[in-house]
Parts: sequence; structure tokens; C-alpha cells
Amino acid sequence: MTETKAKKTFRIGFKVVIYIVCIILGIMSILPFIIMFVNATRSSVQIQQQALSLVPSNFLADNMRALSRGRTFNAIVGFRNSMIISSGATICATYFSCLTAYALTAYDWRFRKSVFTFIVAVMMIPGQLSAIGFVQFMYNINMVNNFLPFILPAIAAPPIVFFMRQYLLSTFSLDIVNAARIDGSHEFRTFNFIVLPMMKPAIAMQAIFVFVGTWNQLLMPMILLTDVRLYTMPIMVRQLSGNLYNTNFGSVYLGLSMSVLPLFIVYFSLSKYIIAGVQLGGVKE
Amino acid sequence: MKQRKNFSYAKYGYIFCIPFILAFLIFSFYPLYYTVSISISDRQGVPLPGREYGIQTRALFDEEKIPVYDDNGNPLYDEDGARVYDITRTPILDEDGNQIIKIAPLENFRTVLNTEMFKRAFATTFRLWIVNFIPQILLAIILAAWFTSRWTKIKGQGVFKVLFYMPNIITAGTIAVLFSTLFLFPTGVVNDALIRWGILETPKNFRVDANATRLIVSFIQFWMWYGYTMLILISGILGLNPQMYESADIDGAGAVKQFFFITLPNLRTILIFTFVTSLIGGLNMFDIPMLYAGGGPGGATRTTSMFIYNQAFAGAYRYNTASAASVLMFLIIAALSAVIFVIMRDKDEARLKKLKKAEARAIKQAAKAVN
Repeated sequence: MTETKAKKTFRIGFKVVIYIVCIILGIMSILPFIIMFVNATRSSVQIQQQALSLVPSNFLADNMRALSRGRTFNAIVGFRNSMIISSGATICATYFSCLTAYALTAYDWRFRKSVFTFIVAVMMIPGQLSAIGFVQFMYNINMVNNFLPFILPAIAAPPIVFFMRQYLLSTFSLDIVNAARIDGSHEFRTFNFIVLPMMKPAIAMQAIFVFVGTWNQLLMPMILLTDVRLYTMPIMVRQLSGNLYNTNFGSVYLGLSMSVLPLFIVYFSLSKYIIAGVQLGGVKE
Repeated sequence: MKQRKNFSYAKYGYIFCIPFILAFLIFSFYPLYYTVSISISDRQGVPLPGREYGIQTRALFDEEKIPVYDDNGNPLYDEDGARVYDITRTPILDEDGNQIIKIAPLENFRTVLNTEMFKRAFATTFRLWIVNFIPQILLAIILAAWFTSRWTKIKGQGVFKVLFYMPNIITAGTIAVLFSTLFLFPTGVVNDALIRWGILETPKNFRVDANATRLIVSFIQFWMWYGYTMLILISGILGLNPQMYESADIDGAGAVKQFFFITLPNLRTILIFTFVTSLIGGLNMFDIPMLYAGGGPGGATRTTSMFIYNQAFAGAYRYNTASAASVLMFLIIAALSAVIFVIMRDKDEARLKKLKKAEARAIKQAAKAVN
């Protein structure tokens, strides 16, 4: 296709505008975090004199000491608790979603269709609706200050079942299962050792989202975990804003950095899969 | 043969679904049922272990205000400067110490709907959502059009996508505290920058300005979500049939025309999806307004979710009104989603469906008449 010269100049000018806008937006995304990381290494006095700086200083150790003096913020404990909850929820959500999706695709049973319709329908109900009943119920069965209320509900994750079912429908054939049956493999064994490994790519993709989503939860942990030793990372971060009144700015930035760092590592090392995962989620609708 | 074999395996379909169904019934369905049943009763909650000391800071009803004094006999004020009242009501107990629950189907709903604070919280939530959603969807559509355009062919898209989506994956609580640190008065990063660039003479206290606080909360939401919306729209556009564009090329339609007459109309389903999911998320907004400003100044950023939280868990343990407010919010969101759906759905298609249905009915009747 031929282009007139004027048209070409216009197109290049337009492209320049697009790049400038995108670069500004990119900076807007990353700049708050850069300021945060830099200020984590500066002293509170330096920050008070000049809050905006891109030059790191050498007060990281001091800030660390100031942070560990605080009674509630403990990055290691928060990290450990968040890790237990998020890993547990991720394992439950991915394993049982695969199992349910497998039941919905591989077997021909009477209520298969109605169960699937039901799963799609309950996807629409926001979790916050039942928060109060959930808390009161957990209180009644003595589950306050326990990690199980955050892990076990993940077994029933309708959107993930939906995704896994789509994946199985597009990749899976019953021939392999039939071959395993002829070899005398039990159905449950077939699922664990033949079907599950085949679903690895889908599991990896969903695992990231469940993990990050659980890690970021604030409301429920804030209500149900009243013991400081069981606080998750987001609850600890909430305590940090108290430090602002003591003008302990360096330690606040450091605490925030410590809560962001694990997510940054996960995100930037797996960004390709994460972006692809988000885009797949859009297509399914 | 194969048919029979499948039949004998059918029971595993049931067995493998059991964990899901059990977990759903226990952790989703029962709490939901419980919430609804609380919303029509007068049940009060009990302080959870470790929180027994709580006093309610904000009273809901005037007649129940019992002022709280500190040890020196001075009236107590909360961080917004409002008087602190004790409105913990002692529930009526039976001999075994269990609360006697009365059922009053509509009372809590009436109470909530008559509460000025709930109405104000709803208006605030809606405002915070709409102010972030409109620029968000516009920017996302523009970016998606740029990134998928065959006319410009933008390079380095991967990097931009990774950057734009990044804030979405970071803990909302962390982002809220980070922004409240950046907007600190008088020595925060934003004040520092604005003074150095000569935009401000003296530091501005963003925290006490209701409009500034609302705007910042909306901005944070916008900043966290436009990347996600963009990715969804891009995948929607890439999923469209390329033949449509080829024939448009042949007809001589330019890039702008193609966008408005092919891309946008065909993106309708995805747009409805983004609209509805954003509405659900936006009207349940909690983390950012809670941790950025604590609902302040003077309740200017108090969302309905925070209202519910304050009602139920911040000292008063009014589970009944809080549940009623949750159910109300669900009904409102469902109704608004339905409205969006009806407005945005393909009207021609709906008419076609209706026609087809009428035709089918006519055929059935004709068949009946013949029989």
C-alpha cells in the first residue's frame, strides 16, 4: 500500500505521541514504588528535609532497627503467616478445582449440567455479601485466630472450576483415561497421576492469581485474626500508618518495601504468564 | 460397549464433586443464609477474643448516644474530631446465656434506609466509583485501540503492558498506606515536589480537604485498574474476526472509522463485562478508602463497605443492621447490573430472539391445531 508523504509524517507524529503517553503512564506506575524503595534507605531527617529524592542513602540498617522496635510490625512473622495462608489456599483451590472440572468433563452423570450451571451462577455473588454470617459462623465453631477459615473455603472456587473446565474441554481426550482403565488404574489414581500433570500450564496460571489474591486479602483477616502473632502482611502494613505520627518515615517506607518486595519478585519473574492469564480471563466471558 | 462403560463410571462424577459441593455449602451457602437470617432478626454480635475492650466511636442513632469520658472526666474525641459515644447494647439473654433472637423481617432494612450515614456512604461510594471508572474505561479503550492498531504497530507493548498492570497486583492496603505517606503534610513527597516546582507556595494538608481526599482515592483506584481493563479490552479486540477488518480495508474505511464502526460495536459483550465487574468491585470498595484516609475527613470517603464494617466489627457489633446493609447493597448492585445489561445489550439481537420465540410459539400452536 502506498502512502503519501503527508500521511506518513502524520503517522510518525501520531506514533511519537503514543510513545510519549505510554512512557508517562509507565513512569506513573513505577515511580511511587521507586520513591518508596529509595526512601527506605534514607533517614527520617533526610526525608523531612527533602522527601522527593531518587538517590539512595545508607540508613537502611537504622530504619530496620527502628522498624523492629515497633511492637506489631514484624516482617518475618507477617511473611510466614501470609505464606501459610496463601500456599494453603492455592493448593486447595487449584487441586479441587481441577478435580471438580474433571468430574464435569470426563464423566457422564445425571446432574452434570445442572451443577455446571449452578457454578456459573454463583460466580456472580460477591463474597462480601456473606461476610457477617461467615464471621459469626466461624465464631460459633471456634475458628477465630485460626488459619483454616482462609484456606478451606478455597476448595470451592467457582471461577477456577470454570477456567479448568474450559482448559480440559480444549485439550483433554478420554482415550488416555480409557487406556489407564484397561491397565487397571483406579479412577482417583488416574486423575492424580495422569490428568493432573497434563493440566500443569492451567494450574500454574491460576495458582499465581489465587496466591496473590489471598496474599492481598485485608478485610477478613483483619476481623478474624486478633492475635498479633497471627497477623498477615497486609494487617501489619495497616499498623505501619501509626508510625507516621511518630515521624518515623524511613521505617514506614522500609516496612512498605518489605511487603511489596515478594510481590515484585513474583510479578516481574512471571509477568509473561500473568499478562497472558489476565487476557485469557477476558476471552472466557 | 463404550456407552455402558461410561455409565458404570458415572458415580465418580458425583464423588469427585463432593469436596467442592461440601466446601461451597459450608463456607459460602451457609454464611450467606446466616447473613440473610441475621438481617431479619435483632441479633447482636459478640466481641471476638482479643477485642473485648472495644467501644463504638460513632453513634448511629441520636437517642442511643451515651457519651464516653476518659479517666480524667474529659469527653473523648476520635481522630476526625467527633465525640465518642458508647452504643454497645447489652443483648437480652436466656438462662443459658444465649441471646434471645426476635424476628422482625423489615425493621433492620427500614433502619438502614432511614440512616443518614448509610445514604451518605452510598452516595460517596458511587461517586468514588464513577469518578475513577469513566477516565479508566476511556483511557483503557484508547490504549487498547493503539496497541491493537495495524496502522501504527506499536513496539515494546510487552513492557508497557507489564508496567500498566503492575499496580493491580500489589496489595491494596500497601498502596493506600504508601499514598498516604506520599501525600503527607507538611513534609510528604507530593508537597515537596509541588513546592519545588513552584505550583504551591506553602505545603497543603491534603488529609483535611474532603474533595482532595476523594479525588486521591478515586485516582488510586483508577491507577490500579486501568491496566487490567486495558488487557481485557485488548484480548477482546484480538478475538474479533479479522475478516471484518479486511473487508473494511477493501471498502476504503480508515483506521478511525474502523474503530468506531467495527471494533466498538463488536466489543459490546466485553464492555458489559468490564462495566459490571467494575461496578461490583467499585461499590464494594473498602481497602483503599479505609487505609488511605480511614473514611475521613469527617466521613467524606466512608464507603458502604466501611459503614458495614464499622457497624459490625468496630465495637458496636450491630450484626443485624450490618447484615441488612449487606443484603441491600447486593440488591442495589444486582439491580444496577441488570440496568447496565438492558441498556447495553444488542437491541437488534434481542428483537430477533423475541421474533424467533414468537415464531416457535406460532408453529407449536399450529401443530397443536393440526393434531
